[in-house]
Amino acid sequence: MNPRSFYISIGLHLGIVVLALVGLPSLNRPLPEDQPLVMMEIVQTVPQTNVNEGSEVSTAKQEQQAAQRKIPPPPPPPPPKPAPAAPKTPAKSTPKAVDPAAEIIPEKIQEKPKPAEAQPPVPPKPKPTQTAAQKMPTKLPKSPPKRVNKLARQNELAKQRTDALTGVMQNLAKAKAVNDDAEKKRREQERKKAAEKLNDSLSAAAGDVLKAPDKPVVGPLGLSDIDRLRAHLSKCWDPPIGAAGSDTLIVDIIVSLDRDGHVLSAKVDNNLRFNTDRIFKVAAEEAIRATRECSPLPLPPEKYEQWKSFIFVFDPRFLTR
Amino acid sequence: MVAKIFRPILCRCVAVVAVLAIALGLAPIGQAEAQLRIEITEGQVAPTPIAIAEFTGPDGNVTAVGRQLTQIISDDLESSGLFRPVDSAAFIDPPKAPSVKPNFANWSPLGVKGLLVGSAYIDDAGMLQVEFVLWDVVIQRNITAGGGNADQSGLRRLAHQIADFVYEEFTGDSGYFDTQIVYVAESGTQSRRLKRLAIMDQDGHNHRYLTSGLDLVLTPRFSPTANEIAYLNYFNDEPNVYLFEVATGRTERLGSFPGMTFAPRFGPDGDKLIMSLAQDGMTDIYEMDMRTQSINQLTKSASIDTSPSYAPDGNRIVFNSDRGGSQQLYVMDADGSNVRRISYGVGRYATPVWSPRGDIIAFTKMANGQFYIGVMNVDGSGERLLADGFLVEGPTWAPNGRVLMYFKQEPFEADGSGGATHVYRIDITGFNERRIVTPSDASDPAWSPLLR
Repeated sequence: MNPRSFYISIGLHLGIVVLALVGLPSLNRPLPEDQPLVMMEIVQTVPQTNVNEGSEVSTAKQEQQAAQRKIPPPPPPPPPKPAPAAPKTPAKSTPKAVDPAAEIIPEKIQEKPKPAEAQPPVPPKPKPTQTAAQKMPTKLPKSPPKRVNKLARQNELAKQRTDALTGVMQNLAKAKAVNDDAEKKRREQERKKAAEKLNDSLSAAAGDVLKAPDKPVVGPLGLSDIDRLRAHLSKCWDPPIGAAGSDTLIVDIIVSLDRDGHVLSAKVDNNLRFNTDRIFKVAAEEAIRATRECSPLPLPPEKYEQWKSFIFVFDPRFLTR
Repeated sequence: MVAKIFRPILCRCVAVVAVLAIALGLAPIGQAEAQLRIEITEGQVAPTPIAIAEFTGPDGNVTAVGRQLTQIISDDLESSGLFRPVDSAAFIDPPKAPSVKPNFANWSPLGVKGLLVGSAYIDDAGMLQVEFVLWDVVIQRNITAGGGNADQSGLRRLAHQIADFVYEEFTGDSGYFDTQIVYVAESGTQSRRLKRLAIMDQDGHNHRYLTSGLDLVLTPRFSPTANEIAYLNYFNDEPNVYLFEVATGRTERLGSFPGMTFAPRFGPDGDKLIMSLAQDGMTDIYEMDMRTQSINQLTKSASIDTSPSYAPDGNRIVFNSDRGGSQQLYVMDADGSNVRRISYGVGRYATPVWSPRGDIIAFTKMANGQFYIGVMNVDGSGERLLADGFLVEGPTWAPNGRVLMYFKQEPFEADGSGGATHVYRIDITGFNERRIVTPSDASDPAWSPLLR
């Protein structure tokens, strides 16, 4: 054997072995190792990147939660499109541009909105994720700058992921917008209802007053006339304080007046109850007394036709309100 | 008009009630549309002004007993917080006799709604003769009238009864002036406290002690006739429920059981008494038949069930229990079934007492380091706190269910002084609170039913 050829053979064999040892595993190892690592980091890094975006924290959180639930979808994007993702990021994801220079600003912005928006997320597992998310931001500002250099690759991947997630975000944003619209509509409806109620109660209070003038030709009895009359009468009325069931002791007194406003007669409308319910009787007698005591009533003489006879409703429910 | 014709038919024909009810319901609406309706939703939340003329003798002059009587009536009505007796100095024409119709023109300028006129004098037989008429000054008619006689020691009670008449006519509720209070009179130092049963009129007069103070007494309660008082007595340091007969002063231990009995309260008919019996570390509520003194267990739980109080109809019982962890109020049927918790507020609740009117329950509440006296509806809703303090406790109802009495202890000072304990009265609106003057410290009041 030629020693030279022997050495060459050994060298070649060693080279093959080394190639086999170094090259073959290296071909296998990096691929499987990288992929699982990336998958693991998706979950961890997504919140970081999203948090950096800071503009809408609530959507970020919802994304985290969505991302956590939908872990399967994210894996496909990372490997295939590394290059296109990079150019897009500056335009779409402001956070990275912000990262180096203005770390403090997003941090503050993020921290403030959180407490307010901590409530909205509806998902079933809000507590752990929220607390995690709330703790994250304080740590984040320190970590990104270090990682920017070391993990540029991961950032790129993260950008891709955010791109993938922007779809989710947009959906969420849309959903939120829809919710907002729904809320706005609800509020408007509530406002309308409240307004209607107000109108109802107002018309209930003054409705009869407004109805009354239909018949007479003279100008209607105005609200100021009614108010003056009510104020006048409330000075004479001792409502049934502390009586049992005082909120049911609503007494209608039919009043007839002469042209000077003197009370000609004051009668209870509900004779049946007057004769059977002792407490009601006392309340009714007091109502009659109040009407009589307040005579003459202050009413505009020219509108006599409207007020020559009417009903006073003595309502003591203000006592129990 | 239509409604009036139908009303008598309505009363007779039950079968047509539904149809007629609709007709009746429509009738007022028709009227309402035709007629202007003006709602008065505010009034004077102030006492009703009333004139009480001093009672006169047969000669038309005011008598000494008349003056005394009038003063008591005036004080009673004024103390209720619902009346404001007008100073008699303002009277233009003081009436000479109740039989004469007053000239209302002389009274309406005073702004009074009612006028009480009366006569009172000692007749030849030494009896006190009283007559009175209550006039409605506004409507100008007489509302009620009455009279009576008594020996002279009955003057105060006659006056209270007349005050009750006036109260009834203007409130629709029965009065509570002709009533008594039994309470625990306390004296001595805090470490050697003497506690005796004492009784007095609701206005603090006619005060007398019932027990000597040899035994410690607590929680006296009137029977529905006011002839007996059930109370807790420590005899040889063993607490048990005793009965005190007011007329004779006789005392009697109720039943004889192993263990101690406490927190007694009579049933509405007086034939039953409910109380707590502590036995073998269990405190449960028992009902005792007053004739046979046999007992019947109503609650059975490992918790402490105490302070039972009957509803006025006797069908339900309210009590407090710590079965839910903290002391809360529970209601059960009179046979002990159907127990349900009614208090859910912050703090602890104790000493519930069912109103004689039946609509609310008074209680003591402990929360935020304070004591409160409050009321709630029988289903536990509508809780209202009426009084508070360092220590307020033990509410008891006036027979008409409009006024509560309770006792209040002032906080102790650093030097050990203070801690004065007094009985107070408050109406259920919470507006009108006043202290009842007693000769010594007073706690655990119990209001009697109307004496009559």
